[in-house]
Amino acid sequence: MRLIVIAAMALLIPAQSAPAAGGRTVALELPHSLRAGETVFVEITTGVLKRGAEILVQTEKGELLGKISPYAVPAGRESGTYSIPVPREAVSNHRLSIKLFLSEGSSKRAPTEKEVKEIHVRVKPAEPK
Amino acid sequence: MAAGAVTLPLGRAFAQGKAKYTRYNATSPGGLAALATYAKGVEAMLKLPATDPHNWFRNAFVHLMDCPHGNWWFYVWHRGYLGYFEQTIRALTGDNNFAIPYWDWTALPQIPDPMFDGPLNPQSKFFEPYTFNIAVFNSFIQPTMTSYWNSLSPAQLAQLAPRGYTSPDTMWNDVNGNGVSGNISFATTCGSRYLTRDNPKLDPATAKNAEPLTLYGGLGATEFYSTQKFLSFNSFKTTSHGTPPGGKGSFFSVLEGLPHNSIHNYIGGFGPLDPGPYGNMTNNLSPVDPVFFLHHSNMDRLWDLWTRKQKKLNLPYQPADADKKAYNDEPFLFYVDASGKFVGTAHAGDYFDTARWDYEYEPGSGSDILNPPTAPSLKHGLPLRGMPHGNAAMVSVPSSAVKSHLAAGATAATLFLEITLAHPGPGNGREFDVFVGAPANATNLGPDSPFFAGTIAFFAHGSHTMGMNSESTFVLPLPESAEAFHNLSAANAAVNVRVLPRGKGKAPVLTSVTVERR
Repeated sequence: MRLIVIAAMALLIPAQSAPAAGGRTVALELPHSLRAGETVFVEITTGVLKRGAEILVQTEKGELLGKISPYAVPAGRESGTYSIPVPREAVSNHRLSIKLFLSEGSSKRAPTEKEVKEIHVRVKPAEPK
Repeated sequence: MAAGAVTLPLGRAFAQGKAKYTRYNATSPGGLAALATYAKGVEAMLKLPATDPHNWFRNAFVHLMDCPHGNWWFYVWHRGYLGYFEQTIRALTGDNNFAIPYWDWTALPQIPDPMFDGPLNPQSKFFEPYTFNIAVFNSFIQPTMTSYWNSLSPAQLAQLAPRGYTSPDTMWNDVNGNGVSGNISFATTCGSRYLTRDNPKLDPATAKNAEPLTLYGGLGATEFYSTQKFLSFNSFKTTSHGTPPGGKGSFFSVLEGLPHNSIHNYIGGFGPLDPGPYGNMTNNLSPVDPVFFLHHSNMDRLWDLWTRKQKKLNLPYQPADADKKAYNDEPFLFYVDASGKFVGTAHAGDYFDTARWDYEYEPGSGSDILNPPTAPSLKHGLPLRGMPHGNAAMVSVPSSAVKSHLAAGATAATLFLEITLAHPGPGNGREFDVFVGAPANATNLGPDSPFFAGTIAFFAHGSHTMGMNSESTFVLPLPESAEAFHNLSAANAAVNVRVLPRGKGKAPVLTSVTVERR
């Protein structure tokens, strides 16, 4: 028997998106407090990134969540969407604040709206056991 | 070896430990022995003339010309590529037990040390006669590749066009970068790999992408393909495996997009060496670096693990019926077999099953998803109820269950609190922090405390519910810190729950508190 996994529940576009010193802070809101077994992902859609550019994703407190490093994407082409798992403890009161940096060699700055086009938070239902 | 029987994709009964070949962890005794054979195989392939399809660089060009990335043929194409490669190493070395080891970068976030030895290191003297500089490389291989191009079938040429390869020269633009340093796929001997024996580690951000949270996040995908990206084990569905990655609407799966991509890039120096040129692993001639095959063996291992997990849970592990034909019939036209002959027309469906190559993997990071630790059952039924007093409650829980919960860690919590309380009403704060096991006199508690279980919050109180029963129930995992539990050495541990208002609001009154196992 195939176990059905209910569709993912969350879709919330950034509640706030503000340039911050050296990074772009984005506040995301989950649709509800996390339930048992649910996992959280941040889904980031990138635009055209210059060769050598990567997107660093961290919590507002500075804990690294992951790095988007486009591989084999031809120059001038949008780099696609990436899903980054988020630890439960990074979510506070069904809210999640993340900070994005565009890293190019030794320099880091906030990515522009063209470089990071969309950010969503997704909640994956518990997997059947 | 993991015990038990699983069913392979074609439905053949297959007990772990019964496959003819084992792909070992590169750091295990079996893996080290395989690396010794691998080194001999690489050396033999390096010494073959460019006209031989088994020549080391010719083999890498199969990847440059045909590899799919960022689409749903990524895993299956690389499974075929590794399968033929493994057979080739057996044929050239005479080691009929050889199987390509995997690099478990979750457990070891640095290049395995033997990969800096001899022919396994692209910076070694073994590569220098061919990769000393671009002129040497071009004179060695470009004439042969031009001849090869001229022998390609119309179907092959049609597959190359979406990559922008419409002639030998346009393909060579990706070899020499066509004036853009970051696009040069060729790497000189000394610049072929950024990481060295003295500096073998992935940087923190790349290592983060290889951590268990990401690994389990990727393995937790519930669909072979889904437009809900975080549920999809595979990347974007395209009309051809030759469609370049990226583009509007495209997406990468968790495992391809994070550890796969960033490990490729960092080994080549993407990041520290901008704007390039980079080492081999950063571009599509990445199989020139022998570590490529260990990296992809690990990616293939994760696909195998995911497939077995899906089968165990009766979840889909193949494309949906409506997509199956398009997926399976996708032609792969560039492989070379163990005898050095071109395979000709093969299809994605031919390579889906590990049984075709008769291998299995030595267990590594993530293997526990097949046999997750099970928490002992709570006695006296579920849930275990506590007796609330105002904003606190105590629940007695078997210590064995608490220990199991603590051992499972953050990604697999097994014990959960279910707290019911009434809406605080207008004018009161609507957010409450939940603590477990906090000393009664503790005042400065916060989210960083080992006693912190989480925050619960009410949404705005609609006027239409005024005067009605507005109780809500919240579920949150118990803390993962042993400090939060008392009497763990006894048969039952005390789970003392306290709910405090955020800020200066009124303490809530709890209606019910229970502990459940999930």
